[in-house]
Amino acid sequence: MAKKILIVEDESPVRKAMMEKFQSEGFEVALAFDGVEGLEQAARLHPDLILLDLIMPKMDGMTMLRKLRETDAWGKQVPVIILTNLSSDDDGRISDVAELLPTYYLVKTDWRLADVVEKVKNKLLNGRNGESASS
Amino acid sequence: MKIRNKILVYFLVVLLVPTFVLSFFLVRNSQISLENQIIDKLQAVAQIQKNRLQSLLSEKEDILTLFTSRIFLKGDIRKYNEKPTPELQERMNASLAEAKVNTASIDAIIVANTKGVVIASFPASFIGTDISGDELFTKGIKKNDVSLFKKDTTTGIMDEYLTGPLVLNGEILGAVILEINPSNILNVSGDYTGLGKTGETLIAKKDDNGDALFLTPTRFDKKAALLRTVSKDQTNVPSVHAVNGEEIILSNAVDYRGVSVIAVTRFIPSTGWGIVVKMDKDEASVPLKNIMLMTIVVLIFVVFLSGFVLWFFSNSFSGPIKKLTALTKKIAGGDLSQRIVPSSHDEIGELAQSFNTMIEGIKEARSHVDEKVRVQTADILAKEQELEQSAKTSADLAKDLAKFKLAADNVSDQIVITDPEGVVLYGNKMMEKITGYSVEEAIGKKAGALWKHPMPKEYYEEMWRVIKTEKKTFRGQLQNRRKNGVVYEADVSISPVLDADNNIIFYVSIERDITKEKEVDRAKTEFVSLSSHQLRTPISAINWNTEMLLNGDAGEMNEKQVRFLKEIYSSSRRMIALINAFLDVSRVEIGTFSGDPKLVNVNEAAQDILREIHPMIEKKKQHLTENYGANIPTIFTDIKTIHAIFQNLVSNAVKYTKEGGDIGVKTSLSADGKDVIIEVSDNGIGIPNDQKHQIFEKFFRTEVAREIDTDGTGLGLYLLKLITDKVGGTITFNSELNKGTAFFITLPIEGLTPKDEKSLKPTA
Repeated sequence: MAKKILIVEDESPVRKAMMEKFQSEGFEVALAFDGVEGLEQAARLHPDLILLDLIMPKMDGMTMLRKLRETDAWGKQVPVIILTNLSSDDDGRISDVAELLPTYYLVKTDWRLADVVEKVKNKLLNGRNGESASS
Repeated sequence: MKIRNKILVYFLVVLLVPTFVLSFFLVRNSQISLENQIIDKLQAVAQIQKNRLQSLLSEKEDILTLFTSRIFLKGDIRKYNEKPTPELQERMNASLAEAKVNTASIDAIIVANTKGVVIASFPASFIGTDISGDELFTKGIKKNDVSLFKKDTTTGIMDEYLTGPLVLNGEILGAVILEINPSNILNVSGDYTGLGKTGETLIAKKDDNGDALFLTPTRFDKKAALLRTVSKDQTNVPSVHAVNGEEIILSNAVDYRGVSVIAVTRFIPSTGWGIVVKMDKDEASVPLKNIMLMTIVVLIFVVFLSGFVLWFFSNSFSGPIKKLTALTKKIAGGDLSQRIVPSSHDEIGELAQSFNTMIEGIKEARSHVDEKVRVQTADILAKEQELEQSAKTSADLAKDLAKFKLAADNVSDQIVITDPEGVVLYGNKMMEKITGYSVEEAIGKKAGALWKHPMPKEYYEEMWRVIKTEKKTFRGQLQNRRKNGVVYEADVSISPVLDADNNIIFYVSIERDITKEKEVDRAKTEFVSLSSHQLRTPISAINWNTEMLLNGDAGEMNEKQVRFLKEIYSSSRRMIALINAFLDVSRVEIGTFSGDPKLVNVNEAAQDILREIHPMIEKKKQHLTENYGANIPTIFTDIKTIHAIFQNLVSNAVKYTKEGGDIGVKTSLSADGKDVIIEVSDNGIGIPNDQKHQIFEKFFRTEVAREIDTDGTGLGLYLLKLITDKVGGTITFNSELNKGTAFFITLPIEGLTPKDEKSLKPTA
């Protein structure tokens, strides 16, 4: 069965690119355009993994992630990869983030899309924070 | 009241009151003693009179006895009584005549027989007269009586008679009557010697009625003799008492005239005569009156005299005193030339003298003082010179101090000085502004108690460790709380002040309220983050889409398409590099580049970075030499700094060295142990000499570098310069075109600035 990916991203070009890539890789892709939708979709669809942007209208990624983790047992453990253009080293962001147990924190511009796919696959296949040999 | 009047009044009172009282008593006493004197005198006189009378009476007795004891006469009388004969008559008359001649005071002699017929007399005219009824005969025939008086009715002259019986051998022959000149008695009663003007001696006898009959004329009633009587009832009349036989003193008697008298009585029992010696009271008290008069006169005289005297006397006091007063006023006014002339040799004069002496003394003292002042002034002038010097210094110091104070007060940082326990000793104006506590409120209290906002325990441990144990300056950022409860962020630097023995005597803490700064920083950081985020977003879209195209996700690409796409991709990657570099630079410039200091092992950090760059090195087949110093201590810093250093330098070295080149990384400790030295060297293209001075400029890239790598940002070295500047280190290089480059970075281990080193942030 194809893995379901929930992409929570408000910027259309980026979202489109991600959607195209992951679909072409054989994933089932669901979309959410902000944190509110993201929570709804997550609850409804129970994706296997969530790709989460941080800067979003209505509800930002952090808040959504926090809420997600608090909702239920499923929410607590669903793998989330934060995919953002906010540097991780900004004033304590990492510590905030770490608390909410994302699988990764990736800065979009630092990563080729193909490599992101790689990471997703590794995570879903291995079921843990396994890293592929290349990054 | 003036002295003069005072003296007058007091003295007069003191003088006169006793005087009057005394006078009164004196008068009283005089009165009494006067009376007594009078009485004494009267007594004396009375006694004398009585004695005189008594002796007179005894004289008369003698006269009578002399006669009645004539025997021959008595024989003749007897014979005559038997048979009267002329010869007997003759002889009797002759005897009588003889007797009369022999006794001067006998005026007449009458001898009567028992029948009362005069049988013989001298003068003879009385012979044959019958006097049997006469008192003279009736009394005389019975016994001797020497106190009979009779007044001659015709002449009014009083006569005195002596009578007595003639007895011969127990046979009464008859009586004899001798008429005597009473002048002797009258002499006594008429003798007023010692009795003044109103004194007299009365001789009285009880008559048949019992009343007192005066026997002699009185001083005031010449006809009183044998006429005047005083009734026996008039008991306040002395005569009554006298004839009663009393011998007493009557000081309040009234005499026969009704006049108040002082009287003394005597009594001669043989004759029954009462004697009164008296004096009118008035006369008696005349001396007293005199005394009183004299006293009053004297008193008045005394009063006036003393008044007079006292007037002048007190003047002799108040006069000089007034003068002295006037003088002292003048002297108080400053005129020391005045002197007072002593006008007397008494105490006032002495006072005047000593006053003059005192003025002299003052004058002297003044001139003394003047002299002293002169000397002192000279001294002072000399000292002034000295003092001017030190005053200058003091003034300068004071100015400096004032300047310092002014500076301290006007500085925009808070300055607080505490004792070793943290109790506030001084705070500047800014302290009040920042903390909200006035200097008065803060002094004496612990700084921590006032404006501390709770920080993690480790924070305080570290702070005290640095300032107390290590006795070094602690720098950090912390949160404080103003008086009104508002929390603010402060940049703090606390330095201990040590004495000669290296003991801590003060802590000087300089704080800046960086809340605004921090806000600004935060705003800037946010802006930068957001900006870079916003910039990155479309680029990631470009990148990924391009990647997908290049990957063939949209189908095969022809060569030109691939080429163009690669161009696009590389440009967008450059943009990303720029954005990243810009982000770093901004952060360094804002100061938020590093925020998480830890203990960093420099060598390990180097290796971490090298591991990442390794693929690049391998790709270019370059040789890496690593030389890590052995005794490099771990430094307390943000790992990003170290990473940035190695990342930039090594990647530069790799980038700007051709394939097969050499890269060297070396870490070491400086000779004095104070710095860590990081050296990254290569044998690459080097830096042209004419561009060396620009190498650290923002966005600057050398031509040769540009040729090799078009994508460089020109921010790497700029960033490193910023970083090393911030931590107080240095970045230097040696380079020769086409030979190679070596970059040296020194990082001081101690005394790193707050933002980048030992920067403690609240973890809340």
